[in-house]
Amino acid sequence: MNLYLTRLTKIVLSLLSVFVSIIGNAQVKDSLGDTVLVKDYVAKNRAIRNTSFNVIPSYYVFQYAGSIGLVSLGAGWDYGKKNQWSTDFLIGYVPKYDTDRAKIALTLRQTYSPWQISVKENVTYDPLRTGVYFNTTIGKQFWFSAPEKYPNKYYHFSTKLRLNIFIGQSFSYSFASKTSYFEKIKVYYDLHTSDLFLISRFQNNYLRAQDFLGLSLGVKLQIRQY
Amino acid sequence: MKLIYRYAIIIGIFLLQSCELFDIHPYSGNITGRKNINAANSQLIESRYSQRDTIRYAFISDSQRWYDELEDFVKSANKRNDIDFIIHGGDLADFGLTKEFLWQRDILEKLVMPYVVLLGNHDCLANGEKVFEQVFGPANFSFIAGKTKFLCLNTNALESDYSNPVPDFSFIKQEEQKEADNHDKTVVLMHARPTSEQFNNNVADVFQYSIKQFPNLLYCNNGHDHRYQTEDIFNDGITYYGTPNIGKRQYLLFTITKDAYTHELISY
Repeated sequence: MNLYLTRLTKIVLSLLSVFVSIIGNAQVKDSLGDTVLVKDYVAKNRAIRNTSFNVIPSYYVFQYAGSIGLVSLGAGWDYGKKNQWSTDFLIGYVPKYDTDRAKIALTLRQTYSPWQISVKENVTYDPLRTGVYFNTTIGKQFWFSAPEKYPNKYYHFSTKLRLNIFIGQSFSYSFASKTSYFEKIKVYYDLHTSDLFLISRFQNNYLRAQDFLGLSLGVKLQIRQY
Repeated sequence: MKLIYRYAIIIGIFLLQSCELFDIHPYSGNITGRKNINAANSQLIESRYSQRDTIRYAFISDSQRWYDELEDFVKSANKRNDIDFIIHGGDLADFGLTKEFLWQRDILEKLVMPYVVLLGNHDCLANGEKVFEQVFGPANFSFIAGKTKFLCLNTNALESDYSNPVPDFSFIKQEEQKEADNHDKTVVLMHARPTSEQFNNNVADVFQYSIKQFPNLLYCNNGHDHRYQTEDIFNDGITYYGTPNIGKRQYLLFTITKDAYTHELISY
């Protein structure tokens, strides 16, 4: 058990170091690039970026709660004409609480935020962000479908894969600097529920909103796109 | 200015910690509220009814995803004043989610009489058994009400492997030798009965033999099959009474007197 935890800590630490080194590397490149910035070059580059997939993510994201871990770290990509679509990937940490071991959960999320409203010069408000996310938990006690020892269709759901839906809002604040690595910070909140909570709620008036709905908070650091 | 930020952060962290709206993970195992309920309630049953010749209890089971019906049961049981205690035959959770156990516990906590809960097969899913143990207690336990011993056994063998014996014969043997002088009758309770696909049927006969070693085994109670059953499975005079799932708005009411017992199927 102890061995498992140390291995888990190692994985988390190595992921963190990869994360930090990516940011570090990108920042070095960024400061070199500043000296050769030309207007045409910027425009051209932006046109190419808008039409092609970029390996460097559009943002890094940190989230609190959300049925995917106590805290989650991830990265994602914005796309679409107004960047109304985003896809992100998060790694969440679930402390052990009253069970035997801490858990790691992986999340793939698709977000749609159709409207951007400019509030002040550097503040934008997205009145709606909504979408779905799939979450899977690492650990052999969780299965995608019931193991073979069970009779056919004994348990017809998965303990390993959760489908969640969410709806929320976000604010973003653009930094004054035109050359900083991160161009803006975005904070969001989501109300979410999962397939299993929803099915429980549909059949029972007993469950109230605070039982089957959850709240999550997040921060996105948007990387400057030239 | 800096002080204001610092206060904001402290208040923010406090809000994050206290607000139950934040869901960490479906299988977080984050248990809030009352724990270790079976031990406390068993003690209550033992002390409250120790001098009684006649005891009456309701046996309910399989309340997974039937919150409305379980709540109605609690209301209807609380209105009667002739039930001494309640035994739940297991399957509180349907998916093994941590919150399912807490939601069901919070409904049962509204009972005015003591209650105990057995482990069901659905309660074992994912890390459910661990959560069950924390909230209610060990999967095998016993208590004495009046002059009757109630032996509550984990029989969900399909959910287990050989490292965790189900049924646990060493527990049964240990119980047989314990406090044999303060009871003269025995009732054995379980979630899945012998012949069920959950039960380790390879040892069904041995199981039956070992529970019959207890003083004056009256009958057995089981859940799991979601229907009312009365069957002398082994043709040896020991009847297994199965109770319907709570979704049917039914339960079994048992009355044990000095030298007899009766049961009744109650609809509410």
